[in-house]
Amino acid sequence: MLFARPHLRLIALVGIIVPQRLRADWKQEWESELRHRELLLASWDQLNWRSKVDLLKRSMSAFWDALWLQPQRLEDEIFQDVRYGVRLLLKSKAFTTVAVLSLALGIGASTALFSVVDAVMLKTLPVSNPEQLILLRWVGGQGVVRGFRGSTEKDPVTGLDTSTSISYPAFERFRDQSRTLDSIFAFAALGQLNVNVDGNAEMASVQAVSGSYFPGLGISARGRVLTNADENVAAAPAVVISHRYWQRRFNGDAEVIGKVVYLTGSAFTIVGVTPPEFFGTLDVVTAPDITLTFGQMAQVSPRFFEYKRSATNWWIHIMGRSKPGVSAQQAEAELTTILQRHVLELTSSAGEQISSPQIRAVSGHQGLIYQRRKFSTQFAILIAIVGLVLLIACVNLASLLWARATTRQKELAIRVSVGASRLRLVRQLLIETALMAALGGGLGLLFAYWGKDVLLALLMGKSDELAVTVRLDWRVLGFTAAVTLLTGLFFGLAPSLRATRIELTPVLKENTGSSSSVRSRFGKALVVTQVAMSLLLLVGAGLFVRTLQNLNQIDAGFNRENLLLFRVSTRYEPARRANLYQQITDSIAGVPGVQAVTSSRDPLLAGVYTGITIAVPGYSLDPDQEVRSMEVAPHFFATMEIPLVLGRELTLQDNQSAPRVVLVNQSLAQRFFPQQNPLDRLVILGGEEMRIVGVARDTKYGGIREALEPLAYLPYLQNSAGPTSELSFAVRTQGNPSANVAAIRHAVQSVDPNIPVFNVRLQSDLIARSFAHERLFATLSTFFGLLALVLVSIGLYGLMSYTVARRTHEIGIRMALGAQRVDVLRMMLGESLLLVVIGSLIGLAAALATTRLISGMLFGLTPNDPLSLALATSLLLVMGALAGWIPARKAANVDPLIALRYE
Amino acid sequence: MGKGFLSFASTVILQAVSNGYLYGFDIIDITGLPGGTVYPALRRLEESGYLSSQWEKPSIAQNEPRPQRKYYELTKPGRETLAEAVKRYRLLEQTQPIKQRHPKPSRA
Repeated sequence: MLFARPHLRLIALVGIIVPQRLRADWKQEWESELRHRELLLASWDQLNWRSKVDLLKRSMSAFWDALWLQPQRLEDEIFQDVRYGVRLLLKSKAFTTVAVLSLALGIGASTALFSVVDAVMLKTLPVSNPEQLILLRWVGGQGVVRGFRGSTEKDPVTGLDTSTSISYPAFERFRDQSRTLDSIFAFAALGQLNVNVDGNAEMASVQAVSGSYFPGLGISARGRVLTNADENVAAAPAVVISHRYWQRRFNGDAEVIGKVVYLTGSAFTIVGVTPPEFFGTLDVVTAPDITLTFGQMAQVSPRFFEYKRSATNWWIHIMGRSKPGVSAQQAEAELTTILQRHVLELTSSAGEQISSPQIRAVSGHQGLIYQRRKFSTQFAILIAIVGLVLLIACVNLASLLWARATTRQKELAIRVSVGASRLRLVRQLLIETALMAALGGGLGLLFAYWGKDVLLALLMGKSDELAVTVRLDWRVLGFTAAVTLLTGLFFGLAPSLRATRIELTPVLKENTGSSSSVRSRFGKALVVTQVAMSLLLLVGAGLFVRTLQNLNQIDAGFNRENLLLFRVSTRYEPARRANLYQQITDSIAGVPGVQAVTSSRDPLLAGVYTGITIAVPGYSLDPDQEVRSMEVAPHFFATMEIPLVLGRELTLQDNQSAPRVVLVNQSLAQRFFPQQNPLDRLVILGGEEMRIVGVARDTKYGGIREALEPLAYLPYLQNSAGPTSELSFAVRTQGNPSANVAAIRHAVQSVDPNIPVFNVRLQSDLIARSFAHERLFATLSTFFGLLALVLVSIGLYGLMSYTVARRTHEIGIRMALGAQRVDVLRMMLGESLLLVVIGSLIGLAAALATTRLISGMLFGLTPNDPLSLALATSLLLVMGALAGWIPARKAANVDPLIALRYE
Repeated sequence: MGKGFLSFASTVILQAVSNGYLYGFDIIDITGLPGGTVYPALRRLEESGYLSSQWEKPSIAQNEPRPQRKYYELTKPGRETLAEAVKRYRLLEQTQPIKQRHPKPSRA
C-alpha cells in the first residue's frame, strides 16, 4: 500500500526534518488537512487522478513549512545543551569556581593592563596632523654649556647626555633663523604657583608657552587661545586654563572667560579654556592648569625673567612642524648648525674646544613623554607577568577539563549508546566550556573595571594629578572577548574530542582501555608546564620582593621617621622674609608633639638638584667645578639628626652681617681636602669666600639610590639676595606626624594668614614614593606568583586524583601481592613530586635564561640570585607534595578486595 | 513582524481568516497563494500574536474518520492590524466577504 496515499507518505518523509518537539503536531495538521480534502473529494465523486496530483502538490508544499521551522530545532537543542551545561557546572561547584576564577583573574589583569597601556602609551595628541609634529632633543656635547642647569638623562645607546630641555635664547635663534621648519613653538612647566581666585589662595600648576604654541599645534579653545600678540609685554595679561581646571575649580561656569585671577599677586585675565581631550604636551598624564606666554612670564616672578634671558638655563622644550618636503635629517642638520653658532657666541674665549650638541628631531605626536623609555621596559615586564598568568590559567582550565572529561567517559558512553551523535556530544562539551569561559570573561571584565584605576595609580605614582581617565573601550572588550573565546574553544576542544572518541564496550565494562596512557601523558605534560611557568613567576616575585627590601634598607644618612615636610611661599621682600621664617619656626616649635623644626630651600631626597661652583684658594681646579649645594636653616642637622663629624652646627648667628660660613659633607672634605683638616679652611662657592665651620656625615641628596656626592650646606640667611621666597619646612614629631598637621598649619597661619601651606607630606612617604614601581612589581608578582601556585596545586591534585582512580585495579594487585600502604603512598607521592621536579628544572632553566632581562629593575642582587631561586623552588616542592598527598593517601587506603573486583 | 508593516500576502491571509476561512487548505484555496507561502505566513502571524490556533472538536473529526484539523482565528490585535492594513492596501477594501460554504467549526 506504499503508493496508496502518496501525499501522506510524503508528509511522513518531510516530517523527518521537522524538530522533534513540533513533529507530532505538525504531522497531524498536515495529515488532517489532506485527509479531510481527500474525503471531501471522495464524497463529491471527484477523486480522480487530477485531484490526486493536486493533493500531492499540496503535500509537497509541506516541505517549505518544515524548512521554516528549522531554526527552532537548533534553538531547542542548544537551549537544552545550555541548561544541561549549567546544571553540570552547578553540580561540581569547586571545579567551576576554580576554573572561572582563574580565568577571570587572568583576563581581568590583561584587560586592565591593556586599557592602561592604551590610554598612556598609544594615545596621540588631539591636534591637527600629529604625525607631522617633531620634538627637539639634543645629544652629546661634552659639558655642553657652562653653568648648564637643566635635566638630562643618558642615552642608552651612545651613553651621551641627552635631553629635551633647551634654553630660551636658543629657541629664539631657531625661531628667527630656521628655514626648514614651518612653525616652531616652545613650552615649559613653571611648577606650582600661588594663585588667588575669588579671594582664595591656593596652588595651581602653571606652564609658559610661546605665542606660536596653540596655533602651531592647531588647538582652538572656548574663548580664544594665546597668540603671538600675547607675547608682547604691553599686551593685557592673559591666560588660558585647562578643561579639567575649569571643571574642578570653576565648576564649568560659562562666565569664566574674562574672569581675573592673580598669579603670585599679578592680575591675569582668563581668555580661553582648552578642549577636554587636550592634556598639554608636557606629559601624557598631567595637564597644567594655567597657561601663559613667555613674554608675560616676568610678571609672575622676576626669577622667570632671568631664566628666559639666560642662555645657560636650559629648561624649555621645543616642538615644531617641518616644511613639506623637508626631511628630518635636513631639519636636524640646520638646527644643529644654528645651535653651534649660538653656543660659540656664548663661549667667546678663544682656544676653547667645545663640542656643541647635536639636535635630533624626534616624533612629537605624543608630546613630551618623560618616562616613556622607562615605561616601555616596565610595561613589557608587566605584560609578560600577566601573559604568564593568563597562560597558566588557561592551562589550568585545560587540565581540569581534561581530567574531568576522562572521568565522564561513562556518562558520555551511555549517551552515545542511546543515540547521541558525536557532533552532539562535542557541541555539548563545547557549550559547557563556553559557559565557563563566558562566566570567566564576564567576571574578568568586572575585575578589570575595578583594577584599571588601581593599576594606573600605582604605575604613575601620583594619583591625585592624573589627567588621564582610563576607559574600557570597545577594543579592550574585543580583546577580552577574543581571549575568552579562544581559551574556551581551544582548550575545551581537545579534551572534548578525545573524550568522545570512546570505545563503547570497554568503557561500559569499567575497563580502563589502552589509550589512557596517551591521555595521562598529556595531562602530565600540562601540569609540568604549569609548574615551570609558576616557578618563573615565583622567581620573579622573589627578585622583586628582595629588591624592595634592599631599597627600604638603604641608609639615607639622616632620620627619616616621623618627619613632616611642607612648603610655604611668600611675596614679601627679602628683608621681611628672614623674620617671617623665624616666626613660623618658633610658632611651630610651640605646637604640642613637635620635637624639632627646621627648614631648607628644598627637602632632601625630593629629586631636586642644585649645583654651585667651587674653588679652593691655592689649588688649581677646573674653573667650572661644581658641587651640590643646599640652603638650610639654623639647627638643620640637629633636627634631621645628621651627625657632625667635625666642627659645629649652623646657627642663628650665621646671618647677613656675620662672616660667611659653610658646612660641608665628608665627601666634599675628602675630595677637596684629602688627608687634611678642612675646618676653618676657605672655599669659594658661587664666587663668594666662605669658611668651613663643620663637616657632616654623608647623606643621600636627590634620590636614595644615587651615589654619595660632595655637598655644601649654606645658611639661607647668608644668601646675598636674601632668603628665598619659597621654603621647605621639616618638622620632627613624637609619633605619627599626620596627627599634628592641622595644628602645624594653624601655627603657620597664625603668624600670617596669607601664607599658603602646600605640598604637605611625610619624608618617609617621599622616599617610599621613589620605590613605587618596585613596590608595584613586588606586589603584583607576589600576588600572581601565589595565584599560580594555587592553580598548579589544584591542577596537580586533579591529575593525581584521576591517576589514582584509573589505577585502582593495579594498586589492588600490588597490595594483594604484598605491598604495604606506605609503599603505595610513597609510589604515588613520588609520581607527584617527579612532575614537580621536572617542571621546576624546566622553570629554573627558563628563569636563568630570562631573568637577566629584568636586571635593570633589580637593586642589590643579581638576576640569578640563588636565594630567590631556592625559595621559589622549595615553595613549589612543598605545595606539590601537599597537593599530591591527599590522592596518595586515598591510594594507600584502597581496599585490595574492592579494587580487584573492578575488572 | 511586530511593528513593521504587514505584507500584502499576510494581509490577504488575515482577511481570509476574518472572512471565515479558518483552515489552512481553505485559505490556500480562497487566496490563491501557494501552500509554501501560506503555511509559513500562518506560523509567523501566530508568532506575532495576530492569530491563534486550535484543534477542532474530536467528535467532528472522528465521524469522517481523520485526525483533528487545526483552525485559526483572529485575535484582537490581529483584527486591529488587519483593519489598518486593509486601509493601506486599498484594493482589499473593495473585496466583499464571500458567503461561507462551510459552517464554522464548534470549539474543541
